[in-house]
Amino acid sequence: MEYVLQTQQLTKAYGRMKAVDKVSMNVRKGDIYGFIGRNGAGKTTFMRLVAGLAAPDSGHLQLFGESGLDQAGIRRRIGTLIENPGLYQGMTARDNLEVLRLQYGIPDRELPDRMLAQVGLEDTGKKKVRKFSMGMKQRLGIAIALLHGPDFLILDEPINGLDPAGIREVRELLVKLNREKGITILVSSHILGELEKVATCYGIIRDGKLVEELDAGELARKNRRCHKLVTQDVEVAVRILEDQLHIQDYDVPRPGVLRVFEYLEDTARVNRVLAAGGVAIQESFLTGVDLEAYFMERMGGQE
Amino acid sequence: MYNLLRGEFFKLKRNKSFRWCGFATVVMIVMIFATLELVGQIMQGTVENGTGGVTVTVMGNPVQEGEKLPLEEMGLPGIIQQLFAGEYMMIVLAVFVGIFVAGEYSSGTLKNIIGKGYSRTKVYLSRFLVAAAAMVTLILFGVAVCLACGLVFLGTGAFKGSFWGDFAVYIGLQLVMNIALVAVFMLIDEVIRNMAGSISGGLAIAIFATLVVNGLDLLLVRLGVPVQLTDYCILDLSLGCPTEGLGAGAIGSILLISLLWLAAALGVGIWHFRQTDL
Repeated sequence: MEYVLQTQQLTKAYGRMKAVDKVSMNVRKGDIYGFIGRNGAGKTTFMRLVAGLAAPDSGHLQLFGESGLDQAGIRRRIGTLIENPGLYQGMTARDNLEVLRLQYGIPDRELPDRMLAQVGLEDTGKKKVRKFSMGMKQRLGIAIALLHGPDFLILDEPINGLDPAGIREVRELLVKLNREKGITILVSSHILGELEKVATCYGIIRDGKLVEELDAGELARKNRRCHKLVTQDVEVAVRILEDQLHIQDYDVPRPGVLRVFEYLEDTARVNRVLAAGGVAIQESFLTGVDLEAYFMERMGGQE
Repeated sequence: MYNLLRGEFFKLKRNKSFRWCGFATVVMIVMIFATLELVGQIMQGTVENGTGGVTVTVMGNPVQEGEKLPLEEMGLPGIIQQLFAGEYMMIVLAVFVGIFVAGEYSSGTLKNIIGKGYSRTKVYLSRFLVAAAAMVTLILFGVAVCLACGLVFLGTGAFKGSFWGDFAVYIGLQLVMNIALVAVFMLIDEVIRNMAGSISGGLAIAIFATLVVNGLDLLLVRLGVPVQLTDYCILDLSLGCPTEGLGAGAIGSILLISLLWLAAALGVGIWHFRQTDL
């Protein structure tokens, strides 16, 4: 398994507040890693540590298997869009890219024009960036992140300020970059529905701590439709269901809760069998936790 | 480093503040010459008859007949000196460096370079070199405008005698001192990291620092300390540098102090830039 990013116990504190608290993250090559957390959870601070804009207080960070992160060669393989895009307000979109083309030492003079076309800003002409809408600035920020053909993209809320058409364009662009060019992407967003459409794995951060990492398949399995039973006699209930109804597909996500994935069309039968076996059921209902509800629960602190 | 410099010079070319500073310099210099010329003409008119109720005094004393006209009195070296002694170039420097350097913090554009793994030392030095080149250009441009105006208003007589020798020494020293001042103002911008704050801080230093240093000198005299800080303060040296009569020792002293200020300001600035998060 090849990893593009690995962190071990990465920590960053501002005063007494730990913005990133012993985060150990693993981003595999080729993944679109959806990074989720509330405002102030530590997403942006973590991304700044990875991008080299801030130094961690402790912990280790490896990019492309290397720890010597001062080497320009490694960081050149990363494109970033963190917080607001860094733009020269008094310049045109093309000039913003041209400055960076020169500083990066890219000889291709036509590259800024191609990048502008890729993000839909080819018609901005002599319009200065200060007159751009937020969505246009965000697109230009994405163009900057892509300018030198990175292998790893770090995008912090890239669809901020975009209209629905723009959101779809960015989503399709990210998927295209991932599938056609094999670019690994670490992306944070509040819009969970959009993340769900692109991410292949997720990391959930709460109060600076990475509370869970899971891939899309595992997430789907955890959130599929089920018959949820709340009872203090979970072990007894499991034994009864296995013996009498031959149920094998179930799990116990936490004490007192049993999720049954069979007999979903006949939950009444399950309830009758359990009641006959003397199991006291406090709650019984059909549920299919959607992504948003699952993440809200994980981000909100309820275990 | 070469690529970083190319990018910085491209930014400088697109930077309107650079052009506006140049334009303001031209306007100010022409106005100085025009005003002094106008004063001279009024003096020539009022000595005998008065002109529309306007009277001219010099240092509070009424003008006497036969007295030298202001332009002649100051001479071209004196007017060139006003660019520096009058704090004009220092104010331009504070404003321009604040916009060009500190503006990068406000706009967040440094992320695009630092995030690529470039050495922070090289990034800082490239910004300094281009800011210094810009200031040298503005100073030389201002001096060229002064020379042109001198030719127009004073004629070729203004350039006679030891003018060119003294002029070369004076401008050379001012260039060195102002390059050191670029490093000082850049250090201020690096610490404040906000364009408006940096410009304000730079202007405060440019206008009030010499007052503070003079006050400290009085205190040192009171305490019997045989050191005068004004002899070592780069701002005082620039403001008070004479346009003629400097010996080799004085020139060497000014160059050494300037280089020390340059090294110290760059050293502290680079250290701070490397240590702090963006």
